[in-house]
Amino acid sequence: MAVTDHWVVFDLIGVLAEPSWRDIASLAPSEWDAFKVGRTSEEEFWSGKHQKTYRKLLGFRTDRLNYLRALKDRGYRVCVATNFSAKWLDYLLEKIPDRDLFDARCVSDEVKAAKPAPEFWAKLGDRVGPGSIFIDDRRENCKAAEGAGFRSVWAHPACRLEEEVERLLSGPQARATKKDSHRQTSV
Amino acid sequence: MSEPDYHSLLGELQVEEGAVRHILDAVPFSADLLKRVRAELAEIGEECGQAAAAFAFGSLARYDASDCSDLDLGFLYFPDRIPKDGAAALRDKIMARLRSLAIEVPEKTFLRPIPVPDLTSHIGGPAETNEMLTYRALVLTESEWIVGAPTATEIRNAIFYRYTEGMTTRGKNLTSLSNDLHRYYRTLCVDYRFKVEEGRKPWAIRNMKLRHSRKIWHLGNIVAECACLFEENHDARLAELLGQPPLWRIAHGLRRYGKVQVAARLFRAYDAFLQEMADKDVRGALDTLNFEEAYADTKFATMKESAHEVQRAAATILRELAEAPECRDYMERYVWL
Repeated sequence: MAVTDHWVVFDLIGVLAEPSWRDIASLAPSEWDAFKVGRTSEEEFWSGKHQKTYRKLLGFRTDRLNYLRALKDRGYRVCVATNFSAKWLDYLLEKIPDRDLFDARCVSDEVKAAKPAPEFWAKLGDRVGPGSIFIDDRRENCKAAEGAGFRSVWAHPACRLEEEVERLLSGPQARATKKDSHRQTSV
Repeated sequence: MSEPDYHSLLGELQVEEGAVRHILDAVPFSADLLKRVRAELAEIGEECGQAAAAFAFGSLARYDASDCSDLDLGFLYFPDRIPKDGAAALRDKIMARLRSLAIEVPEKTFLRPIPVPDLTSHIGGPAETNEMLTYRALVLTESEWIVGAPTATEIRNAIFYRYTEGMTTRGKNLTSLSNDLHRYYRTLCVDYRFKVEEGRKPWAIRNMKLRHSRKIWHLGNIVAECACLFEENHDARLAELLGQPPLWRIAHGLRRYGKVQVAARLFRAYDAFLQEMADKDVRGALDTLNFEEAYADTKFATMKESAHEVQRAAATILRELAEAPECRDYMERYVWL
């Protein structure tokens, strides 16, 4: 296994895992806006019943998990960058044998910032290399990530994700990224 | 699919809330029922793991369900992750749980667990069946997960990929998919004949569904296809539109051509249909109405006029779209021929 300093950053819900909390609860956007950056607790966000139900429903997609593991086997480093609760992520990771799956994480309620705000990309840049590949199912997040110096893959429903990621991993920018890896990413 | 916000369209449609009250009310009803079902089935979902997923098809997935609606359940599984009898047992558990919640799940079209590879192979080949075509079309265009959200998304993507990966036959506008969806619509029309003539099933309600919700589903696909012509991210936009309820697809597709308001007549006509479908007495009457008596039946006459209005509204939408040269060319090549 070749050791590289190439990072591949994955969004969580909509890319690696499902479902969204919105599939089981109808709450005002402002409630989520506060909870996702840690300004309110989960108990303030929703009921105990919702808390239990959501944990039961959360799961990784097998196909995406397999690809992520394959990337790691090839020596790439993987990071999760998500507007999410750290507790939810930890619970989700408990469901798989390789709980230390991610080499780094950037979770909105831990970093107190959420995509697509600039502060989130700064926090992500502290964790992963410049020009890293960033994958998200929301186009606006991909555009914001590009603005912050990342290379993005928009994981829309028709996206052939592995092909798109491999294209970036093997393209000329991949070689350029290695050369520039000593430079800091500024936001 | 996601919960449609028809309120946000009323301005562009130039339609008052009262004129589409049943369409508007059906959305929160359907959304709340879906959320409730997902919560009630969560434990069975843990047993399914990543091996299987259950979907709601039909009116619930279109967000136009009412108290009178049943839940059309589809259960799909990966045979390399769970054996057939294990999948059948999980499906039975889901059915039992839904029935314990007084949710009617008819055992008609979707009678058994379906292995996912059956849907992603033999497309157009001699081994293909109407059943496989039905599942593919519904998973892509009229489904909501109720068990196994991660696996449901994986299945949906896997089906869509089968159309996009055919580099020789996909067509620049993914006509390999649109042909299959158009074929499914025609299958429904012919299937109606079989069910009524040979199966002796109640014809009136089937007739009305074919002339309302099924026709609008088909129209929604055509509008979506036209809306994506020459789009920079054609496949992404098409997948996004097809994953929305038909009325939403139609309004958003027409928006590309600045013609959302043209859909107003269709919305009003469909609202009238939903009003009738939400009435138990109307459904009961349609279930027992004989063909020979139909044309003297005042309720049937009203609904028949509603079906004509849907047809007129749909035809208007197609004529308006055809004013754009690229749409006309597309429809000449792939819809009319």
